[in-house]
Amino acid sequence: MIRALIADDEPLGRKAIDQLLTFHKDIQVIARCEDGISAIEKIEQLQPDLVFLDIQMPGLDGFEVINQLQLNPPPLIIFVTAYDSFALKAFQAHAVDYLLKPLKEEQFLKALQRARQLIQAKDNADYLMQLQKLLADVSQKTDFIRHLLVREKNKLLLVKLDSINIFKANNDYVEIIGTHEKYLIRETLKKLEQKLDPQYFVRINRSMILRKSMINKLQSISKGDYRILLSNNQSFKLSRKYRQKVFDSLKQ
Amino acid sequence: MTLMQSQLEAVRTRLQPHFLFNTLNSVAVLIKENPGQAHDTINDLSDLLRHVLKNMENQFSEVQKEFEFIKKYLAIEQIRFGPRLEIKIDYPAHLKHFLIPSLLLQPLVENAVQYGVAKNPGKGYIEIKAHEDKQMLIFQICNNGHLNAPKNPESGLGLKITKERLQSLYRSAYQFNLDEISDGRIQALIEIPVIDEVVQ
Repeated sequence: MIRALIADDEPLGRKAIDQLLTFHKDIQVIARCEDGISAIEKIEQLQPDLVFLDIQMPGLDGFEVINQLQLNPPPLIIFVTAYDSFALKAFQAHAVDYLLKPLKEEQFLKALQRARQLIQAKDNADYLMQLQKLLADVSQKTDFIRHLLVREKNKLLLVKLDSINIFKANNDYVEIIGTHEKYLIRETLKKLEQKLDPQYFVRINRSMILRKSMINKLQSISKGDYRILLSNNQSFKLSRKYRQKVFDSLKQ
Repeated sequence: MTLMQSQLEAVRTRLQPHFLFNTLNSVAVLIKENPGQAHDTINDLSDLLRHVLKNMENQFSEVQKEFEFIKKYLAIEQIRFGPRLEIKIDYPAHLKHFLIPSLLLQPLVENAVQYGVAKNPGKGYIEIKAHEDKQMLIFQICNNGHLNAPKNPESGLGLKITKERLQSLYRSAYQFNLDEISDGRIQALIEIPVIDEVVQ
């Protein structure tokens, strides 16, 4: 028996897959999720063999869901999308299975057949490699993030960036500091920097990224060294390496 | 047709492909589950397309027709999103035959769905109102969500087109704002002069 999970924010989108699965008795739908967060939770908890994953979902989209999964190996994914020229190119380039809405039975059967083979085969290293490459390709071209996924004990939280002011490197983690809250995520500051919109955030030294609107003034200390003063009176060192970038960034 | 006009037409005729394909997917499911609703949805979709095609030539159309269009568009979105989407539409009957730029509200309503519902997990609401005050027609489109999220190019385009269109039609005699009027409540507001007759 193949255990499958369906993730799509539209009820009829989930139903479309249910309908097509009616006659495939070897596949059992164990959960249906309506957003990215619950998809991650359910996938990690239930460890399905196969996931039908819609790309456009509120909160976290389908690609982010796989990116954030802490499950090794991840389940087999069949992507579903209504229209997304960029995603389609990525799927084709990496020979990853996808379904277009409205779903066609023939396409569905093909993807299902391939999924069965991959699940039965003990060695799916090739598939995992394709998926990795696809994700790398996609994450390069996607927009800046608007929220962060935080894992707290057994709970997943989607934290909006709107309320976050400081990102501070802490070994393999980054501390995320808002006005009233503080979180920890497993990530490098460098990777995070690439995902943050430079219109709002700027890196000021090796271990810190700040929200630009928090910066109150720059204080010259000596010989081109500066301190950054925030509106709440905190102050941080502006390292020489990032000095010019900060100046340019604040002028915009 | 000027360059700007042709650009406007191009955008106005563009009901998002994502919307069209998701709707067709819903219809395919409904044909088996609920043929009556499938039938209604196809009719709504046809009316939408017809309204868009018809108004490629007309700059203006009646308030009533524009609101019918919006209602059908939202009826389809409601089928797609189910109980997640709550909709309220309200305008006084005497505005029915007033003329407004055709498909003016469409990109803003589409944004409201995008930001109020499609991008936010959980429930979303959209409220659309119109009234007249001192020879001005005022439209308010509200949805839940926050404004300071980084801009999405699609929404940026919708707002830009709306502004350009209003400017070319009314010069400075209009108002157009998009604000977060209270925490988590976004409002697009359009004020345009009442016009009695248009030579099309």
